Amino acid sequence: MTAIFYILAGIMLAAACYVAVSRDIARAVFCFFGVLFAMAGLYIFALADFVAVTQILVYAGGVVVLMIFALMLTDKQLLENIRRGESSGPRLFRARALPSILLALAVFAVLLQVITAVDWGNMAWRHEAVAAGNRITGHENMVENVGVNLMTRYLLPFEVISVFLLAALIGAAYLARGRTNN
Amino acid sequence: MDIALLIEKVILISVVLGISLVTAMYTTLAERKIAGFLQDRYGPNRAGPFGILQPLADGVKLFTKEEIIPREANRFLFVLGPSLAMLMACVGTAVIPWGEELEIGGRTVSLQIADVNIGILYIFGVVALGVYGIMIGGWASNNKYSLLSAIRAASQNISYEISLGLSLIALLMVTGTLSLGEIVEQQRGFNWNIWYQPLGFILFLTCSFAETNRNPFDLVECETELVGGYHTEYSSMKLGFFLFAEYINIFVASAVMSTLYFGGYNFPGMDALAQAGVSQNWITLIGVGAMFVKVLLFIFFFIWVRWTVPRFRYDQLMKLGWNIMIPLAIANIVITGVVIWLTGN
Repeated sequence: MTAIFYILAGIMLAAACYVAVSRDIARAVFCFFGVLFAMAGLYIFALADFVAVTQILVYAGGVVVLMIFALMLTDKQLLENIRRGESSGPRLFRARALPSILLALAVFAVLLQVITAVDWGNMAWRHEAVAAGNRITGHENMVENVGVNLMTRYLLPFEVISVFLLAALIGAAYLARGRTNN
Repeated sequence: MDIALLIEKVILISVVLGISLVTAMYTTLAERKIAGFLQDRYGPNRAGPFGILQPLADGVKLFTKEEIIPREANRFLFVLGPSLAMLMACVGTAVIPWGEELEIGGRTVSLQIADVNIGILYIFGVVALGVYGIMIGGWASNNKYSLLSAIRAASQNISYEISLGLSLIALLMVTGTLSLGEIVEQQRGFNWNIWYQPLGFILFLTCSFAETNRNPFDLVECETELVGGYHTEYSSMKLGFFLFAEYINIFVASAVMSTLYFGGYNFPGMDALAQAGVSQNWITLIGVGAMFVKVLLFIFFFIWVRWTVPRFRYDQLMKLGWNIMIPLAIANIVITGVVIWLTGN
């Protein structure tokens, strides 16, 4: 079982690296699809099958489709020009990518700091949860669990997110409307 | 893991996959035969008696044809397109309950490959990914007709997925579970969901026509405007895979509709049979037969509509999806909610 975890994690990391350094945007988008898929597999490992399916539905089925949509509507000649303009520099990393590399390194440093600072074997909340029997064994109805918690304990964040998304939706519709007057 | 369970599942998967492929194969023949009947001609009748060897002949023909990949096409994605279309069409059968349990030598065998408790969401995810084959294939062909077709496919699928999901939400409010196994068990005998969700079923049916790219929604391969649509540049068995995936999708969509709205393997009088002392294995087998009769009727309906209803215009398609289907689906949710509230369960 652990082998499957490492295979999935390996696929995800390799695909993510390709997305970051690739110059062919079409391939990058399809590798991003691979990243999301492998991540859904990792969610299943964490016994979160509902999150895994939602990940596939929303990201793989929605967001990436929209990305490909944008890609299809982009002028091919424009993509070609960008690629040609960049082909003179070094093959993988370019000077223009320096800010993104620095940002990625900064995030990585923070993550590394957290990973090394936390004593994973002796977390207090984890021992308490295990002692109280408050843990998932994989036989519960996760959908029910998520639904009840969203409607009781996390109702306020849930509603705030709904209003936020609605605002974004209205804003998008406003920006995209046809300007007939003036 | 239990080795017997593993063998059992492998056999079950092979049988289900085999049956879906053979059904899809003969759906191609049925389509041409029924088209012939509706247009007052014979249809294929040369290969074998009544033309029953025609699908084999078609398969051999497609396999032996010359394969052409355009020079300017993106080779990797060009091959990936039909493979993905085929894969996404086949994986949908995994969560459908084909029958009750069978007793074989003291072992209870469930006729459902995986009873995951998020079955409906799984189906929905497979449907959402189904468009990838067409999009990737159409984009990689480097042909303007293929590209237009891929754009149409993407926007059509995204639009109709919304009303598909909304019509399912009303169904979930009635059933209270996402597991397909439980949904079928609740419909025991003649207590089918279609009696509680007639409008939801019509919406779901319309959306599955749109999601499988069948007439009257086959704008994706509209030959009068787009030559061959997304498969214009495809030849040989890659073309075959694209066409074949459509028939597997029809099979899966029919199975899903039978499961969700028409009781799946349940049939009227199954309790009477059990009381009359018929063994559980026979009832299960009759149930599997009932399931297949329902699936075949839906497949016939798909073909029947294709040869009777003319194709929509693209703006009509979008208007139907956004201005009619989505408001109807939301109204259906509200009505279902009010009825559940009034009846108090």
